[in-house]
Amino acid sequence: MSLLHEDSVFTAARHALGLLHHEADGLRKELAALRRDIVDAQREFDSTHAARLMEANEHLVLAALRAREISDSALAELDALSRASQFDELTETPTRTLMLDRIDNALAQARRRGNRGAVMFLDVDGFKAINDAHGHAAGDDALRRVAARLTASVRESDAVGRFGGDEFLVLLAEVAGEPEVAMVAGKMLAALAGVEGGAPTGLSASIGIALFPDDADDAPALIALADACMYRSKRRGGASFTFHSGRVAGASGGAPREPPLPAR
Amino acid sequence: MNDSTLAAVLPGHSRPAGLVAADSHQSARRAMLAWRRTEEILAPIIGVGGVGAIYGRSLACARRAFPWLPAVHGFPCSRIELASLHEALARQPASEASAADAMLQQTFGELLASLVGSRLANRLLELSFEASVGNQRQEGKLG
Repeated sequence: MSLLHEDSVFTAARHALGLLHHEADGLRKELAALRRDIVDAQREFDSTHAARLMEANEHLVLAALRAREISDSALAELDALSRASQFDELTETPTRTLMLDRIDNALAQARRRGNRGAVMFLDVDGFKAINDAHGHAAGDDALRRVAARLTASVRESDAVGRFGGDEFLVLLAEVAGEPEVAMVAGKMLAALAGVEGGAPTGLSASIGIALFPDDADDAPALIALADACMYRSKRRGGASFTFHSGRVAGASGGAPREPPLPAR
Repeated sequence: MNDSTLAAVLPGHSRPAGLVAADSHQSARRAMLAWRRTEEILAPIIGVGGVGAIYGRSLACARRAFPWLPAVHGFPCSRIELASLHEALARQPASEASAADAMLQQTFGELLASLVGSRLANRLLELSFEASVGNQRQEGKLG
């Protein structure tokens, strides 16, 4: 082979090699761009994925806490309803239902321990006149004051509850006998008639009293007996108490203001 | 959540006695750092709204014992309102502010644990606590 021919082959080979290098460079750049695209795509996918995951977690946390808020609010409403059914809104004393329950418990305890107790039925004297003369707000105020004064006259183990209107029930859960009950009733009448702001309250009540287990041994019967006795006190002019046994007394523990009714 | 589970979560997030600040402003500032870090750690996982909701409920609970803590208006709380917490804490004696913040953190920890489990809650709160202790130490050196 001549030298001239060898030169031309060498030149052609170098040219081909150059082309191949150029092509390889292009491919390398293309590959690098492709890798960058893949990394970007992966990053974007991860970021979207993480964002979606976070969003889902956020929704779950909010839903769980919202459920707790709803549950708390429902419990609070239930509590308020339960309280409303057990306590009189005006006087904040136990309602008739709760008083019946407490009397039943006291009766059960009396049966177990062999002790005695008393149920008093109390009606505020002249309540209609207070309402008529001074309006319902004054009447409500009088009922609140009566409830407060009665509650202050008994022990914590006893109970005072509004029976309805201007009527109250008092439970003395454990007493030694009639003299002790008479003393508490006298204390109540004195507390109602006491002084407030330097002037007499003008409050008084008629009270009927039944003892358990002597007079009856179930709550409705005791209340009915005490109610009947209360009317006897009322007919005598009020500000007095009457036992089912027949004993009658005024605030001082002495005879009532009006002459007693004929014996039944 | 029972006491033993709570004990597992709280030690990592409770502030050691040595870190209790000497004055109200310092105490409030440290509490802010801790809460900011808690938000930074938890927000990428449960979202800013999620952190805010847990914080809001914790705040409402803690207010029963510390009525001077800021009120939460509506549910959910969109995010941790650090400015109002800082203001309330700074107005109290340091001991009172620390006690309130401790209760807030405890309630937050209990709530988080009840939602994500005590193990994960513990890990997350430990991260937050370590970061805020680091910040406080750094702050101490610079200060």
